[in-house]
Amino acid sequence: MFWKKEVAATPVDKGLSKILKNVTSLNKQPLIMVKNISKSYRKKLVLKDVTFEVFSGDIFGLVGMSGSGKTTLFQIMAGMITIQAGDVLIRHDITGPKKKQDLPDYLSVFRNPYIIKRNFGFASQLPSFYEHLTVEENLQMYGSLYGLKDKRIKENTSHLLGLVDLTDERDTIAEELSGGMQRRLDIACSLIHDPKVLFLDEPTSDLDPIMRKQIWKLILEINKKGTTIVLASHILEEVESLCTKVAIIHDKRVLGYGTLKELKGMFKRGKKSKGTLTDLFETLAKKSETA
Amino acid sequence: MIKLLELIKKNFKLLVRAKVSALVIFLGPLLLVSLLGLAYSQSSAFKLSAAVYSDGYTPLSDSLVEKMINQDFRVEKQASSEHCIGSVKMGETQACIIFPAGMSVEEDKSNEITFYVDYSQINLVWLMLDVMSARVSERSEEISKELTGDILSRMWFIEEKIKTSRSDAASMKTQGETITASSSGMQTGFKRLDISVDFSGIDLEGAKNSSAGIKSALADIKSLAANLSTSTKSDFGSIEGSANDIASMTNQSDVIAETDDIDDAVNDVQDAIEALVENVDADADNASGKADNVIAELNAISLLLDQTKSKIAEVKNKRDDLLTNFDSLSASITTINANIDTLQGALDEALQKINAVKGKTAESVAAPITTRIEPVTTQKTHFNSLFPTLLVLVIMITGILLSSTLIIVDKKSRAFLRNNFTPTSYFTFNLSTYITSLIVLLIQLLLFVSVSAFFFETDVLASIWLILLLVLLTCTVFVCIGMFIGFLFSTEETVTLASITLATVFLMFSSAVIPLESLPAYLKSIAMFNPFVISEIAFRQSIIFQLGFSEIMGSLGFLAAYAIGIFALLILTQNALRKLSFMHFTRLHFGSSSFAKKKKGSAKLVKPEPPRKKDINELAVKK
Repeated sequence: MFWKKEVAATPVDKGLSKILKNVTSLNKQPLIMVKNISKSYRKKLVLKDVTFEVFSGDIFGLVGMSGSGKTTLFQIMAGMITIQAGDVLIRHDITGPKKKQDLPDYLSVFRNPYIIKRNFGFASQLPSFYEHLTVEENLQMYGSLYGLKDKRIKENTSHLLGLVDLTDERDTIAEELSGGMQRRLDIACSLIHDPKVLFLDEPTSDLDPIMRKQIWKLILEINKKGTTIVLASHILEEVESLCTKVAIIHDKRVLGYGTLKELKGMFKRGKKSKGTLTDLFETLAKKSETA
Repeated sequence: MIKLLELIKKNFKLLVRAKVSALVIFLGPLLLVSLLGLAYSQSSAFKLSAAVYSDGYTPLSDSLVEKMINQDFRVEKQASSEHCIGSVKMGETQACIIFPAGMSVEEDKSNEITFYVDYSQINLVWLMLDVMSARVSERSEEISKELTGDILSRMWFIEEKIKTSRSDAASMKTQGETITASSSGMQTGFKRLDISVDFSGIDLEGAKNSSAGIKSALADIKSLAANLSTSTKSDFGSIEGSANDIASMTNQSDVIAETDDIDDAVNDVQDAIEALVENVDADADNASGKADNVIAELNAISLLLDQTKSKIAEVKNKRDDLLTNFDSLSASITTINANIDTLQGALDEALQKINAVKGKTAESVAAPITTRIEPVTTQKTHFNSLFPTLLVLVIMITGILLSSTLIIVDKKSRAFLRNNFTPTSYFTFNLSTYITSLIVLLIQLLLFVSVSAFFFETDVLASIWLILLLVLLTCTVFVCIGMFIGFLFSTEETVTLASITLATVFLMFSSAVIPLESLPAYLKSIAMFNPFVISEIAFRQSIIFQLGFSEIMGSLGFLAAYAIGIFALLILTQNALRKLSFMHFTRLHFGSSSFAKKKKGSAKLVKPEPPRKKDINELAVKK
């Protein structure tokens, strides 16, 4: 488990070295491929031809204004809502080595909901847990719902409480927690089953700067343990601080995606820009609106 | 299984932690039992009040009022019919009874008592009508008995008279027959009576002529005698003269003596002749006189004969008339006999009819059918009779409301999104809701039944397994219905409203409020498929009448079909229902539909705000 105390580097045997080689080669392939997806609500187009890729170990940021469709895109990526066109594919070996060679390398999230659910963690902008259960009860319940063994639930709960700094609040009823704590509990709930990918939708949107920074620290910590994070936010500072790659969503489509450096490189040339993500976003938005 | 248990545990924790819900769930049934037990813990009649009015009270109307007062009624005499009806409208009394003025038992008097009742209180109305009609009927029956007794005593008198008359008629008939026989005999006698007299042989004229001839012969005899006397006299004178001449001639003594003797003898003969003539005359006169008498008698006889003839003729005529009358008499007697027969027949028939009267006593005629209402089972209180209905009511209301609330609370809960993101099937979630509702219902029912059994001695143990099966099926039906409602609607308000509406529909179309029999036939036939009705009937049969499994198989079958059908439908549509719920959730929390409504450029990027002093302080305290 990623939050377990790291073992000091020991000489690796041949097998381990082989696996590490495979992992390295796998990391060159995207973990999630969002391919040409379009989504409409009652004939009104919300997302149009959205395409990007998320690699393993990334903190992938989705940037866009409030109501630009980030949450919808999140829900689509998590296979929660259907789309009119395109597909979201996930690398098959996310759950482990492929057992049968004839299986495809990528699976559609829409056709494999249980694989997605077992390997994805999801924390929406609205903390999602039972407010009348205690912190520990929430974690235990979600551990059970993810089908974990009792022993593992207890271990994970204990470690997660430490990770999100809620050990002292384990017996507190969730609704009595502060906003930041609730957010952390929500993240803990989404990590209870050791997901490979964690989706965070506006994780700090309604938090004060101190709490926000605590959450950022937590996100970095989680990512450091090996969890790929897909983060949607309209707080550019957050994205700039955390994300290794960013996709900018505006006017139903992805205006561009890549590392911050790549994005800045793409749009800085010939422009009087300070080089911040805000400037970049504003430039792209203006360009899109003019077009 | 672990998931299921965890979800059920979670549901219970949530229910218990929401203190009001816990209170309602656990104290609700206790409160219900207590209130209903208090209300229906006695089996005596209700204290009902009635307003009465009459334009003129009579002993009869007073006796009815008295009867109602004796039967635990509160009776208020009102000043006018308007006041009487007004008291019902104002809710002061449950009914207004208007007695007709001068109410009495007389011929051609209708004695119609009018009840004014408030049909908006339909149950009470029927109760009132039932109880009050019963009281009025009691008095009415008493009067009927009196009248019928009188009629019957008169009828028995008539019967006696008919019996007597019937024997008289029989005697009359016998006498009539005797008269007929006598008359017939007389008629024959009269017919045979010969009153014809042949008067042709009586020749009274000949007799009279003969008498006249006799008289004439007698006159002739007399004349002949006179002539004889005269002739003899002259002859004898001649003889004597001759004798004298002889004597004179002879002058002989002898001859003179002889001539004297001859004279003497002639004289003697003359004298004898004269005496004879005299006798003949006398006899002829006498005979003539007698002949005259004979003639006179013959005349008299002739007269009498004429009279006799006329009388005989008259007698004949009379006889003929009599014979004719005898015929008439005979016909009349025959008619009389026939009439007597008819009369006898009529009397026999009347007797037969009287004997055929089934009610021989006033009681049996006035109230040929006496009713006695006996409960099919002896329930100590009204509560026990109401128990099955209450049981189903608790199951229905709690089942529908609880399951729909659990679903909507879950749907509206923040956790709904995460729940959907766990690899737990919808079936498990639905099953947990179903089992939670079932357990809560069972706890409620256990409380309900325990309290009922303890305080009201309700017996449910007699057929406990059957009742448990019924509870399971009924709970399943209503819980699944509630779950459907929970899925279909998007807010707690609409869910509660829909649940209450549906429960009300089930309740209204059952016998719990108004008897199903009062509904139109087509509605009744539909209402018979109401799960509330089916389960109520089944519970009633198993708890009150303690019928067995086989006897309530029909209701059980229906309930099982409902339970399985609705549960299967729930499972079949769970994906669609869950998606619908998810749509409600996202619309509520993320405003997904609002994406389309956003105006271009209206959204803004949010720049970080400086921390509020309060938040920093809170954080510092926490730390």
